[in-house]
Amino acid sequence: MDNARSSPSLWKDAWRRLSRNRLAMLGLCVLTVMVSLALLTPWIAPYSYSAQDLDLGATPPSGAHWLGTDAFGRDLLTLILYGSRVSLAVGFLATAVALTIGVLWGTVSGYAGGRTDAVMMRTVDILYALPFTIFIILLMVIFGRNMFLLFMAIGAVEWLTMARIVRGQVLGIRRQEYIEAAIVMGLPRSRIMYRHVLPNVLGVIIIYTTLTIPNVILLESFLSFLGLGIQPPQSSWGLLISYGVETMEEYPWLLFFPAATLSLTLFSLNFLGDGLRDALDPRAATD
Amino acid sequence: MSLLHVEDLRVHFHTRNGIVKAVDGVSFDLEKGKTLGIVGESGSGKSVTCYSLLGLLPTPPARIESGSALFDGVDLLKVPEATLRTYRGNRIAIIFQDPMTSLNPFMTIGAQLIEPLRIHMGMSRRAATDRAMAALREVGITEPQRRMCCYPHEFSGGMRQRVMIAMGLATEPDILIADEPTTALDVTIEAQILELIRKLQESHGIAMIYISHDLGIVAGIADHVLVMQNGVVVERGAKAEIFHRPQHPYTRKLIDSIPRSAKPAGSTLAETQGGSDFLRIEEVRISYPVASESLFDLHQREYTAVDGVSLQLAKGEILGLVGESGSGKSTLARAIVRLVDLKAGRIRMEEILLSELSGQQLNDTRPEFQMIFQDPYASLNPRMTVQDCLAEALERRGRKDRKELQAEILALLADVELLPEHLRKYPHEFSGGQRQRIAIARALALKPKLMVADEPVSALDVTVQAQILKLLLELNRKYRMSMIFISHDLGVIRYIADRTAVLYQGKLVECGPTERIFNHPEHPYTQKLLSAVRTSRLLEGAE
Repeated sequence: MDNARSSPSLWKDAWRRLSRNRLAMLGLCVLTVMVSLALLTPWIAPYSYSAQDLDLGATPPSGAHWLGTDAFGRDLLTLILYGSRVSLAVGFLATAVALTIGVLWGTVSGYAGGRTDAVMMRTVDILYALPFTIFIILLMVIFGRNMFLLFMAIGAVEWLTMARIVRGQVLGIRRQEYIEAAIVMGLPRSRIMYRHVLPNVLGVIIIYTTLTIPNVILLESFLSFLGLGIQPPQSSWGLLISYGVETMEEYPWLLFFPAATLSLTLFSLNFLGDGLRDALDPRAATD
Repeated sequence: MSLLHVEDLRVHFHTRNGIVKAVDGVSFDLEKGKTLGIVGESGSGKSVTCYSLLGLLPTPPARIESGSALFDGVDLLKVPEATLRTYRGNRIAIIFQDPMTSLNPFMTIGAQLIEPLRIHMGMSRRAATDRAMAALREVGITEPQRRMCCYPHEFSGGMRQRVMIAMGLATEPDILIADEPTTALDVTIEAQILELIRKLQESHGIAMIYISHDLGIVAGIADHVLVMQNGVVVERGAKAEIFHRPQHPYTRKLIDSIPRSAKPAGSTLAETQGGSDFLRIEEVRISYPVASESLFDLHQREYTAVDGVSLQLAKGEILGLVGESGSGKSTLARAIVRLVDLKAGRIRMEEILLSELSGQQLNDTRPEFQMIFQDPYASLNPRMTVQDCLAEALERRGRKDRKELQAEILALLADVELLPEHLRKYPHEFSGGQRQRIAIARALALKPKLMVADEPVSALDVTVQAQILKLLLELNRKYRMSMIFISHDLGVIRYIADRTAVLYQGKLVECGPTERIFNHPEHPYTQKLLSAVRTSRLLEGAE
């Protein structure tokens, strides 16, 4: 209720503008379909993800296997569907973790300034300097392998850049007269940050988020390779693509379909991101 | 035979939202050695007219639809860009408004002066250096040899504008276009620059086009005046004629809007005569730390912006605060609303010691003293509608139910003469004057006892300025609100303030009833300030 009351017009107007943007709506539809398919996979997948048919081997797309099969005779469509569960979950959840920590950290640091800012940003610098691979191996040694760690590891790295970007933006906005006007009104700091600072850095946050999601999806395959992520026979888009690359010359469809799925997701994300950025900036309105 | 003959110039901007007729059929003649003044408010097409002559407009969206500009037997509007380039900066020079941004910060003044001389006139390095030094000397810059090696940031605003003029004159052009060259400068500097331009123009016999929004300045410097509105010339004539016998209603409105008269009778609150002190500013000193020059310089230097200023304000009174840039007037204003901390001294409002408040106590008291900022483009959150902006301010004094809130918002809108249909819009959809009204409404929503207005009208056109000043006076009377009004414009201060305080380099030099200050200034600085305004502007009585 408080939310609805405290920032009514911007979000309502933004939704109205977004719904007029055809590309952004198309992107939103594609993403919705993808997420629904991922959620419904166990019921709609034509085969089990571990069902092998070694005699069949790799076959091109056919009536029985719409997208073909891999070298073990597993149905590629099934693998992509199961893979989307992992990849989309990693993509959205890890990014959400990075987004939350990064935006909070950056906003507070940039707005507080002075010593607080210095301490917070040096912390970011130190974490930046930590070699990622060693960090991952350490995590695995201490905690063993699980999905939760995957989100943590990715989130722990991705929020650093977000925090830096947001802080830079906030530093600029803090000096604006409308922030001073809000201070003179005697509004509490948290409210100034939430209502006056954040909406004005949203554009950059959204753009960076749409860039982070694909990054994270691919990072998962790297981590899986190191042994932190998921292991066959489970699959993810990242894993499918990296196997696909190995057998590109003999079985091109094994690379083409997973890569096409990932590209489609990225296109949709970018269209939606651009649409959101424009929708949230009243000055960009064409009406 | 005139030097420049412009006939039926039409420049249209083709934008997404349709065609904007920026210049719509302008004709004029410029004689050798004469000055043509072009006056108009923002959007009147005065700058576009001149930029189109030099091919400085971005095309698209701009397009020259028709017209001719004959200069030296060629039509400037038809010649190819390459030919135009040989004219630009060489035979037709231009001085821009902002001397801060039109000089390259990474090149020395000398290099910037020499470059056009070598390119346009094919001079040798030595000859160009001599010419550049002579030009600097001519615009009153001492030690030109040493100054040639300085970078723009080492000059003050006035000095930079002198450099720009030297640059404009070094190639000995036939025509000099001056686009509001003094708008960014203080009045005393403005008077010097205008005097300089006039003198140089006379001695070199250059023809000049002087663009300004200030009819007073144009009437002071030009021989002939064009008054423009919405891309059309509404009136033209000799300067004295335009100023003393304006024909067109728009010209008359422009002249009437110049705030130069005393405060309208009956607008002073009775209470102010009582002298009850509502706000007391005692021995206030504010200083900033300055970055030390070397790493080993451990001594922390300080710049004192306000130095021992004491002022009093009665309930309902309007105190004008005048001074040039660097006088500390804005710093003092920001200290009163507690955006800046004091180094020494006290500020007391009624029983509350403002300067000692902190934390939650300060935040709870803040609604009592509000501020109106100079730039209405920057002081409103671009992502909040008027509705949200006013609702936030109103709810600062406690939650309300929807109906009550809406009623109060509408009352506020009526106070600042805005319409209910404006509520759903965002700041960028309003003009400068309307935005300042929104900012005023936002400050009013908190029902402050004290309003600090920091140059609230200096970003506005003169006709809009007059409306906002009138509005502020009405609100002052209606709500018995005390006000501190800061301006560098003496005319504005004279119109609105009951008492006036003059600041100079952080110190209070004079304070007293406004009419006394204007008619019998005691301090030499105040006298200098007033005479600077009178010499640079043709005002009534001055022929």
